Amino acid sequence: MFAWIKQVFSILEKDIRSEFRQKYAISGILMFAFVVVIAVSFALSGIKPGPRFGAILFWITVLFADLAGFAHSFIKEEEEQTALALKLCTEPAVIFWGKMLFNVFLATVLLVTIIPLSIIFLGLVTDHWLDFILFAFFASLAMTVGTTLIAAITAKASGRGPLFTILSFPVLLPVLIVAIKATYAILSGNTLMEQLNELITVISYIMLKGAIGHLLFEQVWQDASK
Amino acid sequence: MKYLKYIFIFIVLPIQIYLAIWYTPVVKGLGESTRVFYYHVPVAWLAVLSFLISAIYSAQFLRKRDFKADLKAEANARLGLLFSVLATVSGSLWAKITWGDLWNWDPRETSILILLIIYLAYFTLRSSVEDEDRKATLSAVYSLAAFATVPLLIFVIPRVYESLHPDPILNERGKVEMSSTIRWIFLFSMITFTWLFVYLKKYQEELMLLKNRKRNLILEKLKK
Repeated sequence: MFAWIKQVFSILEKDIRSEFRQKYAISGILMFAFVVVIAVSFALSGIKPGPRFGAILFWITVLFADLAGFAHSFIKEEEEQTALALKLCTEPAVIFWGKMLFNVFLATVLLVTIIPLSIIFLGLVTDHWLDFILFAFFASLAMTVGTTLIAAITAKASGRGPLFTILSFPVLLPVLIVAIKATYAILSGNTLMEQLNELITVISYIMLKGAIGHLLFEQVWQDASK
Repeated sequence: MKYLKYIFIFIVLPIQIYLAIWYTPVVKGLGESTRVFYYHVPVAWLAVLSFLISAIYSAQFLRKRDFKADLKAEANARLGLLFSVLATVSGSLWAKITWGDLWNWDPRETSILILLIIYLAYFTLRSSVEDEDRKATLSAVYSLAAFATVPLLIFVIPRVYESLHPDPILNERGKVEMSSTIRWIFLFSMITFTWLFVYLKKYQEELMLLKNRKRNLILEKLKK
């Protein structure tokens, strides 16, 4: 078990190293988030959107920024023809969890950047910052777990860019709805404990999608190596 | 078995139309739009049923690598797409009459819309892969992964959030809260539509298999 976890972290380390050589995914995600927040703030011309629209704008930006970068780690393996070498190195489940952790890393970097940007440009305020950050992390994790398998599917198809968004959007919509509702409540003064239903829904989603991805990834990955 | 089809066409279907259009009592508050109920709920149920059957065939394909299962999965997804469009449109019209707007982002409206987008995404994926083996594998995996969201959409979200829809047909008290006439007409409509689905499913699957056979024959000819 320990060796298995070690292998997962090796994949994560490899992806982070390789990412920091080119910084393609990370710069794409961050620039996307930056541009959207600035564009929205500019369009609002100084009007503060308030908790409801603040929550909506925050999660729409996170969703599309995530979709701009999450597929990259798999597409890169295909484009650079390293998928076969990776397949020879380890079992599919290790690759699934390793790639997913890499996307968790990207999503966390995005949150660390987008939360201060939203405070400055969208005027997000709450008395419960810890609750806000904790929920944002779980919802972001749900988006990552929900899209890792789809990223692997997309890497094998043509028309990859738009396809990833098309395939991921319906799968992520339940998380988006729950995330907007809970974030709106937290920004309006509620605590996370009062939004326990939403938190439980997000955690159930993570467990469900994690299990499905773990079981089905091998089918996509074996095909990917052909 | 052969006569069942005729019994359905000449007896069951006309009875359903008679009961749902003429015989039904009009519900206070819903008015003449009560009739939409007998069509809207069954097509929404068939949209989910088609998705379930498509996911079962997808799992069968991944287990046995039988391409017939892949074609059957696609055939059922086509029916699912048709039923989810019908459920969305009929629901939307009913919403306009009863709630005042064509679209209200009610949890159940959201669920059927997501189901519709999943079907559209499934067909987009199928059309973007050339290789038959890969197309079948990727779409089977997507179908199963997307189907895992359905319990959340159908059973969790509408119960977590306040809905404009009436109580689920079987509510938490385990009771069916409808007048007995409406209940019987509703159950009869559900049975009729499910019966109709059995035929549509059979013919759609046969059509897909025949189309595939024709395509293979043409390809063989071209190779020669």
